[in-house]
Amino acid sequence: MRGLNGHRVPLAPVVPRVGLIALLLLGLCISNPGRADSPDAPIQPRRVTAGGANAYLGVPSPDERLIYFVSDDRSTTRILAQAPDQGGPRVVLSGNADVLAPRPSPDGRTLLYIGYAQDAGGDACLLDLRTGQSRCLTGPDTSDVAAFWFPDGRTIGVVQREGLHGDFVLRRLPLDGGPASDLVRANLASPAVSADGGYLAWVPLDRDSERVGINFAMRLGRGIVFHRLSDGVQMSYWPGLPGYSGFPAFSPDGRYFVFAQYLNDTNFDGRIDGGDHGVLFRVPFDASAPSPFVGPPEQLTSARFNCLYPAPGRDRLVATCSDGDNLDVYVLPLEGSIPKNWSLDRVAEQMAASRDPWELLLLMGRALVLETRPESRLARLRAMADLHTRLREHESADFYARRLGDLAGSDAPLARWAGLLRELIAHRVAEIRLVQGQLSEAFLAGERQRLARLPAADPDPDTAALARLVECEVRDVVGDEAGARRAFAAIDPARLGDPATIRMVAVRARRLLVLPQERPRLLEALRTLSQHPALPDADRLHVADAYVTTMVRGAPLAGRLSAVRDALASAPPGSELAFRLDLEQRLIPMGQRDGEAVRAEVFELYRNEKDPNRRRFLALMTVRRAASLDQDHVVYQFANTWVSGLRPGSAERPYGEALFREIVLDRGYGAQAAGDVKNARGWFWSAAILGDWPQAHSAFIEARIAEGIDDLDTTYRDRFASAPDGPAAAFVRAYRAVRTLGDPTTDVDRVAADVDRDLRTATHAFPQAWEPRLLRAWVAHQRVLRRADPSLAAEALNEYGLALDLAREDPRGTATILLNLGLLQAMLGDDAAALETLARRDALPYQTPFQAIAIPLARARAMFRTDRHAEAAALARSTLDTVRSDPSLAPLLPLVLDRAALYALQAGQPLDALELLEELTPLARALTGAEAAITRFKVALKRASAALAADRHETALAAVQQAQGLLEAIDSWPSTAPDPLGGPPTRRVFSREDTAGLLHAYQAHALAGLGRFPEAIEAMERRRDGLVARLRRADLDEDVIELARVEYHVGLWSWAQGDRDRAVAAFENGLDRAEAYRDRTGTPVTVEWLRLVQALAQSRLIEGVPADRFQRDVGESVRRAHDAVGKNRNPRWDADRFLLEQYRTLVEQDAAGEVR
Amino acid sequence: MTRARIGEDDAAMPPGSRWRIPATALPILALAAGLAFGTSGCIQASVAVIDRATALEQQAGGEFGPLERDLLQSALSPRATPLTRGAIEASGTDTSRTTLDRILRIHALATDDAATLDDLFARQCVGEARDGQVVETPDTCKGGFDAAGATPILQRANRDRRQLWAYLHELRPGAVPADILRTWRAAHRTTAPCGVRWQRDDLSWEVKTCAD
Repeated sequence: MRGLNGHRVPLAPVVPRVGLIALLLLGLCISNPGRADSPDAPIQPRRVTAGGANAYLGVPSPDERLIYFVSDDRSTTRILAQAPDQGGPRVVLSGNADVLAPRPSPDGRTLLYIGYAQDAGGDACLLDLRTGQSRCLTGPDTSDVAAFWFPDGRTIGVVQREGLHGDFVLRRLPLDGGPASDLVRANLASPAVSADGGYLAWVPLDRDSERVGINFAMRLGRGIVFHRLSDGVQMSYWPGLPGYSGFPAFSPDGRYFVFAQYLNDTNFDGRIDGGDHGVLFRVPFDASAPSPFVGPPEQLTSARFNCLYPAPGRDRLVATCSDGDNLDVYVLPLEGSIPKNWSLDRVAEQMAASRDPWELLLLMGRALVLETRPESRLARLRAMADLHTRLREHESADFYARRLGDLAGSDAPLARWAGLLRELIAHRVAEIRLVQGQLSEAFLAGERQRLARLPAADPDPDTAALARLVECEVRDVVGDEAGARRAFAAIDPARLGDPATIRMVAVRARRLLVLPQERPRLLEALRTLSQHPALPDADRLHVADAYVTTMVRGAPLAGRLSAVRDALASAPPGSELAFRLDLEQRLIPMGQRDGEAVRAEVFELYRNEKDPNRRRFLALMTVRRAASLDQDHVVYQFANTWVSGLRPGSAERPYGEALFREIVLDRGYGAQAAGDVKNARGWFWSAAILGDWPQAHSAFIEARIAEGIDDLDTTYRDRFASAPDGPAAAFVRAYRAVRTLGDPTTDVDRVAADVDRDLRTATHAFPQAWEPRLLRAWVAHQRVLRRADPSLAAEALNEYGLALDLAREDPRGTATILLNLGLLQAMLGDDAAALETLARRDALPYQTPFQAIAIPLARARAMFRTDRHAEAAALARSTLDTVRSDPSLAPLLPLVLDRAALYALQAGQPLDALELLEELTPLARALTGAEAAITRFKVALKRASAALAADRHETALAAVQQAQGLLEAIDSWPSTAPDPLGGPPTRRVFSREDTAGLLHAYQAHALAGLGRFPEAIEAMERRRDGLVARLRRADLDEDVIELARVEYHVGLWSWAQGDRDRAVAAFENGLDRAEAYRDRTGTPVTVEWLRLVQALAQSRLIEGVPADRFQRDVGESVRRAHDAVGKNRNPRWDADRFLLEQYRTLVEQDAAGEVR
Repeated sequence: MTRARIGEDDAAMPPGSRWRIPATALPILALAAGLAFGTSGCIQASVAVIDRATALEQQAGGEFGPLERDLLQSALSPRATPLTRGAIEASGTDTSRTTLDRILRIHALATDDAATLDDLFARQCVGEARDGQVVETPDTCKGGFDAAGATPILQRANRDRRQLWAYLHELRPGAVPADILRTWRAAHRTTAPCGVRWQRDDLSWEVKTCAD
């Protein structure tokens, strides 16, 4: 059996045995079918909105069935609403000016917002959600910055500014039009009121300049101000966190308030402000207590997200977050990412398993709150300071270092250590600010002072070492390499007792000792540190890993093996170093020797090693190495081995299961690609029964169907016997139902109704899984294809967007979603978005030949529709090559030829188009079906057009005659036209008469090209008659200008056959039409008008037609045209302007009586 | 003065023929088409406004409704695209942010500058230039390249190297800087990661292999 990339691997056991092995090893896991997202991991914020625009300031409705938010998807911001669990957004308020800050009233019937339609400074306005009527409560006398509801629902609070440079005032405004009352005169932002109306809270603002008002130059003040309305007492709340606070909001039950904290200068611009990442916290609140802040702040979100504007509801917290891209509305539990009931031990276990440093910090913060032992609290603070330092979160690092020093007591070694850490942090902050890393005089001066402050010695070894480390780093950065090395050499690792310090020594060694001749010193340092008794096991292993990595870096294979063996021979037995070296010597031959032999040797080490941390390391390292070398057999065995040893409910277990799932899915897809459906099905089933992951189930279902065995009902009945309504069962039911929607005979609305409940269940239970979202999107998409319903399109787009976000780590999911989304965008006419989406999809392989046609065709169409004609033509041409190379695609040849010809024609490649149409014509004759006749006609129409453009007039004439015959043969002119991307048919714009008129024009041009002018004129007059009739009927501007063109050509051809009078009359008629078009549409210059003026001028001024043959003053026409092209400059008319200048010169000469 | 004439190129040509409006434009009959619904002698016009491209498609594009629907449905899918891992990697997709990569992280640490630089070397987004500095090599870069994030790292890496060479010069004051650089570079290559792009003296590029 071939594994990944075709490497031959031992045959996998046949499917039933694989399934059995998996069952035996996975033990308890399979007894819990239908288990959804693990409650054993921190909960991620769940995204609600999707798309390329920003969605922000989300607030829940009082009944929590909707979330209102602002979107900037149009040129002015709009307020949209969306259910938090499904569907797409709908417009609530939109107009010609921005609308912001939606706030539903306590009874949910009215929406308060800030509108800018009447007043650029903003007004507090109300929207009646039932009637859609709006009214504003304030006017141009004030600029209204923010507004909120008081709990009574009869008054609102408004932050107002009087005058351009005035300060803010917070007022209470009754809705019934009574007088406003001043509550607070202070510069503030983000006002909020508590649930009982007893407290106001806001963020204080400071003026950043005395010369302009607060609105133009402001900066955040520290903390949050709480104002007790009963007695006016104000309290300033400082959360005991680094950075600045913002956006306070009270929970509906009054027990908490939530806020965002800007913890660090995440954009490294030198200040902490609204441009930096926010993290959400909540604080227990008791309005009845003298001091209402009755607990420490609890961190709710990881700093990996930038989260702001918290809006707590009854059951969930709504927030605006960004994960690097746009702002979007998210929801998360009220208690945040970490379940409230986690004990300190549970948190510690999760910390050991965490893969994300910001998640780790979140957990460390929770552990700090839960920790009761003073020594341990200090150790935790030290670790947090250390991690923040490594993450370059300097403000937080400095904050925790300062707190550490304060708690430790000024004379304590730990306080001195913390002080030195602060020096290190300050140094790094200064270094980051260097422009392009170049040392400045100011920087150097500052660092010299820092060096002078560092103590030469300290009785505490860790503090002394940190002093030397800081000195080393400073000297290294400023270029004193010798001094840096002297400082490092002064550190004696054996005397150290603090893990953070020891880790820093290891890191410093790797950064400092980079010269080739220093390698032995570096390796010795790492070797020593990897055995340090003060380091936890995991850290020793980490340093041992660094030792091995450094040792083998860049070395050829044989050299690596011998170096590792030599080192192993002298490593203390049983040490982390020995373990790591032993593992490495077993892994190095992977890919060179028999895979099974390598696996066995590594497994022997695994079996002999009982420490769970080492086992984890071994398994992950082995899988990683094997995956990089396409050793899928080893990958599978070790993933299986490892996960089977993980206790269900442990923090590491979800990772193990996810790993196993990924590996087994890989094997399944590999088997499937090799045509081994039976084994593929077995692998998918193995993955499915482990955690009931949706993708595994859908893959299993497809494989089983491909096998031709119809036992899915019984299989799943047995599988979900104990949980028939569980989320996995729901997903499977929904999937099996919706996969039939591709069949146009399926009642899509019935299926959508049937699966709605199941999809809600699955989406809710698997909030981080993209598969249920894809199904939702798919259902909506299929409904859009049958009905042109904009709300369905919005739902489909939103669900695809959410699915895409969730699938960011899964290329297989991303591939499907991008394809579906791109085709939907193209169908909806959003060509720019479709091009971008499909281009991203193009980077991933196509799965079927039909995808290899559908996607390029859709892209070519979008290019055609966005005036990228040459690219469209080229892409269609290359698609044609694909069709021709695969006999199974032969039925698509007429379609692709037709599109390629159309795009070539539009790209100014008439000969190419003609060649393609010559090939298409016999194929078109063989077409059958309702659209065959009209398609044949259009092929002939395009042939006529291409032939004319290529000056092949005989061919064009023949094609026109053929087209006329084909047009007549169409019994009934269809009223609709099919949508090329499968959407509902659209109303046909052009009638049979319109089309016949076009053929008259083509005929006329073809005849004229052959010099048959009388017939050409006759044909063109038929064309004119049709246009005149339609003009009378429909009065369209375009017909007016078309008539101008008609007259122009009649004039040309009349002239050619010597009938000058008729020519002049036609030119003048045409000029009348062109001027009528100008007057109707306000278009100052058209090419038709210019040509007709030039034709008249040529006739009169050059060819000498007497003036009495003209109805109009030709000279005046020339003057007007010349003035117009002078006034309305356009490079396209440069040649015309030149000609008109010549004519005008002649006109003026004639007017002056000069002899020419 | 050149006098423009109608048909000056060929007296037999119809006047102004060179200004014939090209038929390749497939003149659109109307951007707004009126459809009259005669009812009891009362003519009502229902105007559909469509863009030029749609009108052109409708006017001249062949109609293959069922075929296009089938093609579309065969391309759409409600499930994961069954790609093998090999196919994903061969497509050049950046797999450093997949689920597998995340799970296999052994330590929950943010990537430091050295590791980021190693990743850029591995993906051949940067290379070891002849002058000893790290340079961007966008033509060979696989996967995404975050210039805003990478540039400061490269600047500091090169600053550190220049300081190192100065230090080496301190240790050997009689040596020529070019010799120091050459010696350093030769030694540096032995510990440079496998697969790194390396600029030769003739300015061409090669890839360092670690085959025995």
